[in-house]
Amino acid sequence: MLKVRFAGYGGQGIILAGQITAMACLKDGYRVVQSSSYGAEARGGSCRSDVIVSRSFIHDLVIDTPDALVIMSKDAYEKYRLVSKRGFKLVDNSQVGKLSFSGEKGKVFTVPATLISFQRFRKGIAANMVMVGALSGIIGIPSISSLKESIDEVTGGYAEMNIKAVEEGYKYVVENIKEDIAFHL
Amino acid sequence: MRDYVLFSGNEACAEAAIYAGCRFFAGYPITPASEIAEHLAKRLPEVNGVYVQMEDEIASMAAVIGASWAGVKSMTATSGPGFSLMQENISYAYMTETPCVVVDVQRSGPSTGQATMPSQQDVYQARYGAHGDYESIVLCPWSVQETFYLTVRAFNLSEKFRVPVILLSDEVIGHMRENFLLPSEGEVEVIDRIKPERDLHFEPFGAKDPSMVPPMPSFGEGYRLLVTGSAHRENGVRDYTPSVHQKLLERITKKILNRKEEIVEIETRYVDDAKTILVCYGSVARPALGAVELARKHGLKVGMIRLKTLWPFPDDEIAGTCEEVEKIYVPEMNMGKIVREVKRCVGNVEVTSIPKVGGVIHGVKEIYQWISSGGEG
Repeated sequence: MLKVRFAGYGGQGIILAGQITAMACLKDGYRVVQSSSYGAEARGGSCRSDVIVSRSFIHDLVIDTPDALVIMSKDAYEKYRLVSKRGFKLVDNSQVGKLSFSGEKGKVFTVPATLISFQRFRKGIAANMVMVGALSGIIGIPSISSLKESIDEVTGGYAEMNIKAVEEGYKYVVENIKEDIAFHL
Repeated sequence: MRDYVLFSGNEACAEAAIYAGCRFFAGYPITPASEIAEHLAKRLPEVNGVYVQMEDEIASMAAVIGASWAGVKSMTATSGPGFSLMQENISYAYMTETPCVVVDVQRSGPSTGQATMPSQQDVYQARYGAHGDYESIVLCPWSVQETFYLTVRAFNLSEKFRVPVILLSDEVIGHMRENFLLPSEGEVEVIDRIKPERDLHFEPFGAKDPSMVPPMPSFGEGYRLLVTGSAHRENGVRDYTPSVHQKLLERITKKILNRKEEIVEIETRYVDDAKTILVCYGSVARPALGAVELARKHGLKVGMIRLKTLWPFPDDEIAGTCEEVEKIYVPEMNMGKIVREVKRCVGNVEVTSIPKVGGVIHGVKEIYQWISSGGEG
């Protein structure tokens, strides 16, 4: 079983990131459960999206300690500390800034996703997809081809930008993060 | 081969409504039920159906009843606060024997509570929320796929028994996305209401049929059709005579209770040798089954009963399954409600509530902790 949590603030596309990841894992042949948690406000409030990926029927619908914790805001970085034993954090350091916690448990990887999105598309809106691509680059799940298919189905007119953003994230990880942590479900 | 798609419970509910032949939706948006309206606003016009956003939930329920009497299968969807507003007209639907489906995607209350977070706090409101004396049918799905099946079933039962049927979902199931397979046409049975034979003297609230469910004409078909929430004779004319009222209420309650076995559905897992049983329903049944399987791995003889039909309450089914059982747990996302019904059914067996509020669903380990510690939590 693989448990992924995306956390940030409303408006960043946190829930979409979870949805696309879940859909791509489904296309890869897994069972998935994607759920989300958010405040009453549409934008600005804290927001998270969880994806559970498994080969069999999923019982536990809540994630205590994610295997992959994808952090896209300073608030989320301060709020979500724990990951599972084999878990890691993937942090958008262009949002969070300098990582302030000493003695982090689990590995921490950084990807300047919002910065990459600005440099590449002149707006930060695709940062979520950069992180989705980066996650795939690190653990190999979901496959890039399923991610592209899912984005095509869900995001319609913005598919081209989003697919490029996924590729950027993937590329960044391949070039900058040498550690190999393939997950086997 | 058809492929699985990623669907939310609310989307599955909306697609199921279309599948079941629903062609009218009236509603007012509310978290966490809005996606049902959103999906149907797109889908209904594609199948010559009508979608109306009303001014509030009171009007929504009224429009749904009107559409049903115009001969169209109709539905609304809401959550706690909206469900409260609908109760007066739901009562009207019981009295006028109007088939329709009301979806309550439960969120955490009372009042505005935790608007975006789940609960199972409306289980008694779904049964007793409307005023007066009636029997209700309430169905409770535990997955996205089952939300589809139970929504179709809700329409079928409402058409068969001429009664409003409540689909009691919750925020977890409604918003959760998971693998979903859309059944093909004809794969799931769809039942339509029985229409009267051409008969000028037909009585729309008569009870000649042993089913006690009179055929239902629509407005505009030529029948003398009088529909009132007041006590009425078999021809629909208002009549406050005690015997008329008594006969009417006996019929609208017995038409459900006498055929309870056609309505009640439960699912059992690992019950054959079980000494401990979890009785659960809706989303909480997911972690409950996880806990049962974890307990089995540790050699504990634990089983599970899942209530797909919450009302009429499966008294006999629960009592029958729990004859040899020593201990029962009832995990639910409220302060302990259905646990009372379970206690009523099983006599001297020890029944322990595993309540949970705060807008968070139980975890597998949390429920397992209760079982393995013998009820200390």
